[in-house]
Amino acid sequence: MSDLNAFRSQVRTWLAGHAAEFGVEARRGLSEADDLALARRWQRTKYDAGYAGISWPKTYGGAGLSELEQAIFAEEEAKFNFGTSYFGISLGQPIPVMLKYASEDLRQRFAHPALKGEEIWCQLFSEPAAGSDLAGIRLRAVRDGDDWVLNGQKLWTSWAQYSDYGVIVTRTDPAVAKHKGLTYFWLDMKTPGITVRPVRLANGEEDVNEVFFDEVRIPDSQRLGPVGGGFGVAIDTLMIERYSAADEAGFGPALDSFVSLAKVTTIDGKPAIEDGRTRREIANAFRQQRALVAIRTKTFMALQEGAEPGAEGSIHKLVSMRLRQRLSAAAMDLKGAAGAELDPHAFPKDDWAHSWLTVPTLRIAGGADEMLLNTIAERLLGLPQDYRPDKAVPFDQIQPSR
Amino acid sequence: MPYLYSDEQNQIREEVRRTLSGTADPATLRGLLETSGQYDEGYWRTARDMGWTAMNVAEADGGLGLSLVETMIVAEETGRVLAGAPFLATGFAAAHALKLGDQPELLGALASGQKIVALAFSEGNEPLPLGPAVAIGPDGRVAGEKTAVLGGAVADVALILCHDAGGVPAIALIDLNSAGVTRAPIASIDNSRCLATLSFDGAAATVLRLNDAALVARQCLARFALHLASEAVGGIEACLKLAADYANQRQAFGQAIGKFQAVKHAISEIYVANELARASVLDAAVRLENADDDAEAYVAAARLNAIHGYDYAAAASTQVHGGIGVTWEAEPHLHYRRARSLALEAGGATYWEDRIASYLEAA
Repeated sequence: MSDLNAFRSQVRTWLAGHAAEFGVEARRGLSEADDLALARRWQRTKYDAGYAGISWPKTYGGAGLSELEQAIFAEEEAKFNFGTSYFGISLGQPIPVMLKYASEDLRQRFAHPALKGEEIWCQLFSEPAAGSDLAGIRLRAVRDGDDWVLNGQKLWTSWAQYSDYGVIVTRTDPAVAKHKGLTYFWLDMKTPGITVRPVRLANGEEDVNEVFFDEVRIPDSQRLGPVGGGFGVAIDTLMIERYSAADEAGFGPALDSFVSLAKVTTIDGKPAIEDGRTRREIANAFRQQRALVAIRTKTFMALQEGAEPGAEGSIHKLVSMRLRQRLSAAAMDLKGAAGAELDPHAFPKDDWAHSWLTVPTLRIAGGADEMLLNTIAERLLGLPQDYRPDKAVPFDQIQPSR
Repeated sequence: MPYLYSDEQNQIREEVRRTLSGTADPATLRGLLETSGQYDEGYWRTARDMGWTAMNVAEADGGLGLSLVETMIVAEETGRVLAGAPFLATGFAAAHALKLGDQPELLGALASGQKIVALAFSEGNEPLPLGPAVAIGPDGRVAGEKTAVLGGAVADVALILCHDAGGVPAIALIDLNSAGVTRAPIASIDNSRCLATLSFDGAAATVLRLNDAALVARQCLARFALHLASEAVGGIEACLKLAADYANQRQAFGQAIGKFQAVKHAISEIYVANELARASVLDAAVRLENADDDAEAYVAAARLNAIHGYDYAAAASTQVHGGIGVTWEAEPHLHYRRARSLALEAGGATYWEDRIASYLEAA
């Protein structure tokens, strides 16, 4: 643990030295375009210092360290609220999947610019009628000589509006069972026929998009994995196991901030901090957040001894997001009517209203609570799978989802 | 590696589990529930023979000198099988005061299992009364009453929190079989816990020599709470297994009920509660062992995670079982009872919530 502790303190010092230039105060009030430009400079700064792609092989621009160092860096980095989200998907799944499936030339071609923040990748999986049910996608790819022609729509594509490239799952054979007729490709987002349209979310953000494909032609050389083998590559993409950055507050405001608020607000003329209901909120948050930290500590130790990551990620997301939602609402309550105020220059990490408004998205993104609970039940506890009546039926005979 | 069990610790767990599988069982507990003030003598004999009473006592005092983590492993296993006697918890907490209060003889008797020690601190709904009503008079004799003392119906000795003749909080030892002591067993939701009201009317007491009895009482309560939390973790895990096994086996509407998400999710929530409570207890044990300044707040977190986790697990497991779950013959009610008993025995949730809020308020 001492090596990791040394790494952590070295990282912390380095990050602190860049906080003024790239951190939360530097970002406050920027337009998204300016924020992205700043984020690209931050990503480049990390690359030059050897902190981008910490767990990636050196030959692709990484530092060749373990997932533990990667996780530690991400945890420390998250405390400063740097602009990192634009590259989260890009470096999290599409590039690692390229590193696994693409030719060596392509790996070298794409890994470095992505790590430097020069090129961004998106992941074109979900569709209007296929979210959790990944094998239910309908976007067609039809073979035409050496090319494939794509028609259809994707949805919830993070950062597609800034993406240079993407990875995509398509349906190439509707006559076989739904898992078997899929094929996986990578593509240039500037290919003719692709239209990206940002979707405004409930919190006002536009980080996801609808992406339309109209006679989009791509060469067969951009296929990843065999024809009909797309589901396997897609699962591989989702399973690229990494112990991702974790924050017990669910990337919302810290509990300290709630305690501070409770000290300066009153209930019935008495300090809120003395009120039993407030004390219960505080205790509930503390007990669960400390437990999450303890689970993380234990996981770190187990990973260091060579164990595979387990269900910690699911537990963390489930518990920390619910907690963030509850504590954010409680904090808004303490402020009374003023709790509804929404500062346009604040961030979810430092503002209760923003935190509250954003958390429903996070309870769904990357697997809704219900999906996480299913995974725990089926993978860990040995309970039977949900009833899936369409599993063995040819895809073109399945009643379309509505 | 304090947060990961060592091979030796895993062996201890295996051994304890193997031993208990032939000893404590639900049928015995059901029998105990029908009568007040009885405990599972077979289990308790095993606990003493195996040295579990001696685990956390220093070797110099006649114990085995193991760490809190080993003790918590045993506590968890006894909680898992709903062992029908609460004396490991009370003895574990009392040992702390006995050691600091320089009572090696009693400490040795506690370690060997020769004497059962009860912890009689609480009064009314306060687990740690700042101004205890039970008091030692100028003649050195004790007057007053402690209600619902865990193990009080059968313990040999009680460690009481009281006022000394000068009005200062003190911890004193009272031989419960001596003159001036009356004990009245209390019928309870889990009779195996041997609750009793202890009345003192001129009972002789030995005051422990402590610099700050109030502080030591608080430390004892934290240890007591941690032990109960570990038992609860074992209980949560038992509920998880009961529910998952039943959901896999029971068929309704043409399929195993475990296929229904409502059922499946209730069971996954038990798993999550179990993971939180287990990690929290181990974390608190490590901090207590290191005598960290913030250990009490982490014990409070562990205590609350255990209370909420076990209450939820017992109720959810019963729900998964449906009608069969509420019969006397089924196991869920045993956990439902035990979960609530454990939740009350070292101060209810509000007390521990206050410990956390006060800690963060001062931070």
